[in-house]
Amino acid sequence: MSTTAETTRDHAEAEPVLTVADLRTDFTLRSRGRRHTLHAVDEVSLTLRPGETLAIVGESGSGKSTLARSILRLVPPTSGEVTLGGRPVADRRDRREVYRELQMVFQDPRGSLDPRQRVRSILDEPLRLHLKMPAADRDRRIKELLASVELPETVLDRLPAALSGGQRQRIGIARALAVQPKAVILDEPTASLDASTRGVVLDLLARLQREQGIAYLLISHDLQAVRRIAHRVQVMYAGRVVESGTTDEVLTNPAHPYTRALLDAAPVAQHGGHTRTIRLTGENPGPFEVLPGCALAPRCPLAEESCTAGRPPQLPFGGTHEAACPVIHRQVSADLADARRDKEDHHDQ
Amino acid sequence: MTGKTTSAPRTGAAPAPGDDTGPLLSVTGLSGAFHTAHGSTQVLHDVTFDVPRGGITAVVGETGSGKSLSVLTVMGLMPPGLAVQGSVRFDGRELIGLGEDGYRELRGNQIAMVFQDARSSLNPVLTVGRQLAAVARLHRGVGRKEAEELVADTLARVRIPDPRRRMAQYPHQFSGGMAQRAMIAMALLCRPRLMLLDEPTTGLDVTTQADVMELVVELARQDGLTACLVTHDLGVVGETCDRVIVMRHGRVVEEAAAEAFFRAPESAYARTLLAANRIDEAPGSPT
Repeated sequence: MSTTAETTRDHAEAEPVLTVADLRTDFTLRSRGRRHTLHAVDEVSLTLRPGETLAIVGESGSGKSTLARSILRLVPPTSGEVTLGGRPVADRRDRREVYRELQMVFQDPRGSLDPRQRVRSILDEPLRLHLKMPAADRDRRIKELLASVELPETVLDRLPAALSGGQRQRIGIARALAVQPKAVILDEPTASLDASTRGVVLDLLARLQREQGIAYLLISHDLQAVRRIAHRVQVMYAGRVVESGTTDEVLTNPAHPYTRALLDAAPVAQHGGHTRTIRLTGENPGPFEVLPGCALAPRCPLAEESCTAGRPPQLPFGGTHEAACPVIHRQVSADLADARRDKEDHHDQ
Repeated sequence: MTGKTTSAPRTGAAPAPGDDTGPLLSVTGLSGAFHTAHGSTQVLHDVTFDVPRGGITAVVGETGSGKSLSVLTVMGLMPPGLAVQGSVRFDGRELIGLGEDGYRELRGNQIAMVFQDARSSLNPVLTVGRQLAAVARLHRGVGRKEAEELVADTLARVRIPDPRRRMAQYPHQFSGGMAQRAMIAMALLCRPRLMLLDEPTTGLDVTTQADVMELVVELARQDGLTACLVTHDLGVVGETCDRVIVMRHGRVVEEAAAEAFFRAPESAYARTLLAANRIDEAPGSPT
């Protein structure tokens, strides 16, 4: 089995494909004559470079899907800037121009493929509309696309209903890649697939990335999938980024209590499972609760009085690792200082 | 025991009704086929497994393995057109061939079922309290006031905070995890002897999923409830179950104690499935 790891490309040096700066998406709702504002995405920034996968991790209600939709302008953002290939997306009159560079693979291929369109026509559409390719070239390109997602040409005349879940998701991927985009947003690409299919589709995505240098923005709550294909991770809770860093930094040494609880809750396929060491109390308070401090504070076992006072800043945890938790930061710093003191004492003796 | 059990035909070594030593549920040689004008398709092939008393048994498989179908057959809820053969014995009593009246007496009182999407299992236009109270009144034969008490107590038992306030709410006001707890409460209200859970945590967040499964384990351990969990997630099985039945293409490919299963699965398919559930342990991480 091939792995995604052997490439040691330095993503940090390439020009970003996609940058998001302080993006905010609010929804205003009226209920019983009162207006409520819901901050679905609350000042999120990210940078995506060619050939890398950035995972946005979070549970339902974290704002990760709204973030993806706001980037594509399927939902209009309230403020902030999205830059694609160096140009702000808001400046582009024609949305098609955006979709030539940025595509999306949706969670449920059953819902995102037209049930009455045959596979050939599904793949033909982007080539015709976006690239305005002549018919003969389109036919050749469709066959190339099918080969790249490892499907036989026999599926061309089938309807999506006649395909398996894994095959449908491959068609979704082929459709997104048809226009040769620079970046693809993968919205829970494996959530509707069986375990054995999931690994195969993730490996396929990783291979296509290596071959074509595409950047992926992976929206997922599946930490196994993230570990498998993502280079960097940002963890979202209640619309805000609470932790970010390389996959190893965040998933091996999680700093934020939310990330720790998320990793801790993931079931382990062995007898007796594992013991959870950190537990959040209650459930997500809902998007209307606007808290002045840390959004996790009411559920967090480590919360202190200061946590509810002001919004916690992003604090450094070494390397590119950052997390918005002053309590953990203080603990980790104290541990480091202790270790240093021990070392010095040792030297003195 | 309710004492209502009719005299079921006894065959071979099957335990007699009320015998507390045999398995609570025993599926033997269950076959199922859809017969259509275009021919017939067999979807269950000689499915045989036991669910012992107490503890949690998992039926594991991927899409199309027949795991849900087998369990729905136990409840007599198989899709129309499915012709089944074989034997399903619940506490020694044969269920195959039971009429609709027989199943109605069985469902809820003896065997309760919790489905995947809790919010769509609840009626959206009635308050949760009213739906649960209706179940309590029907299955426990209690009055309105008493039913309300019972519902509040049961909701507290599945750790729904502030049950009285929650009872006045509609299903859309419940989160996915809370709705699934309410469905488990609805199942518990009938005091069933066997609880069937069909993918109860699919679609829930991981933290919520872990909390709901902990609740199921606690109910099984403390109250001696027998549970049968249908799932595709071996992680959930590892965390909670005592016994594992693996199905594929309508057949049982492995039946083992959970401990032995996770140490060394016997069938090649189970090994593949286990590896697929541990994909993050695959060599070479991308970082």
